[in-house]
Amino acid sequence: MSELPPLIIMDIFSRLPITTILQCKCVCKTWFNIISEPYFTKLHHARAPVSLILRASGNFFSRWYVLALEGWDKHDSFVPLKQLPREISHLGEALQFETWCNGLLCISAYCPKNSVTNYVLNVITGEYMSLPKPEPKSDGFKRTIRGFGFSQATMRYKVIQEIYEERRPLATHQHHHTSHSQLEVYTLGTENWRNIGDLPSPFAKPDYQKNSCALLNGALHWLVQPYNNSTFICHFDIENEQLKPFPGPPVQDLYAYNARGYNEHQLGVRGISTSYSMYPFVPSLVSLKEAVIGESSQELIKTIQSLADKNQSSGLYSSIISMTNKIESAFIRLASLGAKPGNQTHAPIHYYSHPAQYVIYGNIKTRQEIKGNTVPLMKRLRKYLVLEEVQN
Amino acid sequence: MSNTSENPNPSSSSAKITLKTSDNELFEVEEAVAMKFCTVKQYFEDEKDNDVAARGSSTVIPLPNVHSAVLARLISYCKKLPQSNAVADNHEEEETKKKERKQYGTPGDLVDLISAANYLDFKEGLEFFNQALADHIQNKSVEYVRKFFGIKGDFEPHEEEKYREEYAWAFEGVDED
Repeated sequence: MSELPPLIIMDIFSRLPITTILQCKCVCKTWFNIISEPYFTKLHHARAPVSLILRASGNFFSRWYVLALEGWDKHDSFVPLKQLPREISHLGEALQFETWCNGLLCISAYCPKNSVTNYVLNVITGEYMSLPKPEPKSDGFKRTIRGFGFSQATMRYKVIQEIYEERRPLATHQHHHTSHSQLEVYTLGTENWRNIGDLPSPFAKPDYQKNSCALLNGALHWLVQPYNNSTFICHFDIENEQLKPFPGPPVQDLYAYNARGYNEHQLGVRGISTSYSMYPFVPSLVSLKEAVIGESSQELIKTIQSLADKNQSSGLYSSIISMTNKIESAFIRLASLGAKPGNQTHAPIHYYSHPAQYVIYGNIKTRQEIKGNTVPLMKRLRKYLVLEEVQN
Repeated sequence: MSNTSENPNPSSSSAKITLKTSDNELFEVEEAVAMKFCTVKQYFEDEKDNDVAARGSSTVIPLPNVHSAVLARLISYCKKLPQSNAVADNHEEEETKKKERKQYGTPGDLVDLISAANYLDFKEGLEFFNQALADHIQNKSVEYVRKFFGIKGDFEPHEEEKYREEYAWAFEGVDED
């Protein structure tokens, strides 16, 4: 194999699951170097199946699992990950998943007295960094991570958070003039958060909207419903940090719209139960060093974007809903992720795949597939939203 | 593919091109097959431009980097080229494809096929054989992979030990063989 050109070897490796790649790194120094190339990371990430990160909340972060949606019945598809770095894992229950970008996760530790520390980490390589603390905030204000994106111009990663009044007027009140909400940006590798000014309107329903920012074509998109006005979509360009509003979807009831969003596209993000949480994720070997010095994946972003462009049928609505093509397929598959009540050991994973829809019941513990069958498409979207506790 | 309306002149589809391998064997192949190899296609078109030979049948295209045994297999693969190389939609399809890929022999054979496909700039072939080789490595242990490719581990024992400890989770559950 060593007689093949390195690019061909990379192509071959890029078809392998991440566990095999980590083993191949150990075969010899030549292979180690090939696999350590940033170009390889991009190649592999573009091909890697969308996976789920699964964590047990009773034993928060003590163990992570990656579940590859493609090839669920193969034993390599459900891989227990290594423990998180001790400095992070000891924070236990305080940790919360925020969002992810190119295989890097953004998580926050919510410690007592409201002090929050944000981290960016790659669970595959175990690398992590903590983000600097932002300026102290005034009383009654709260910060929440809103997005994590990648700027092509600067080749940098940026984390975006909103700072807003904690006690918000109820939707029925007409206090929208009092709503103060600003956006802060942190570029990985820099010293501080930067405040980039007022938001035209705060994120709608902040508590429910976590992770619902869609990253597409270098911009974050989210839905906003001002209290008295019609819905619009906020478009935040990661590169130039400009905000642009667009008309929103022709839906009167934003809540209903969101709920639909959850069912069809975001349940993977929000499919949270008492004992397990699942998040979609594309495993990657992106190195934080690359992320910080900004040499990272332009090509990768292009790949994902061209996929997304192809799939963009009706402008921004579809983009906010579909995110990228790759993610969309995952979200569609995750549409009815959940478990059947009363089933204590089997966690059915329902996923959709065009043209058929598959329902697979798997045993989380033994990683065995119990049963797989095809059911008519779009039949039971709203069922099984609650993942029952799975006994250990 | 067999739609004749697309091809009003049936004789052109049966035009032959002669390829000459590194061991001086001559292969007469259909133009449609030969055109899958971009290197050949390029050569052929250049010849046409030069007006040296407008007819493929009279041209012999030398392939000094490809052995006859390998070319024969590439041509036979070309002839039964699947309609699309798209990712399989379901598991059964994927399994069928996997079995198909397994027929192409040992990793040594595959490496030869990949080298030739790379030289000929034969994209579908490269995709297929790269995947076939990847299938051979998937879920195999480090020792197996080393033996399989005849590679000697060149890490210091303590380096390798440390690495294995760090990524212990990736070393669980490999195939035994």
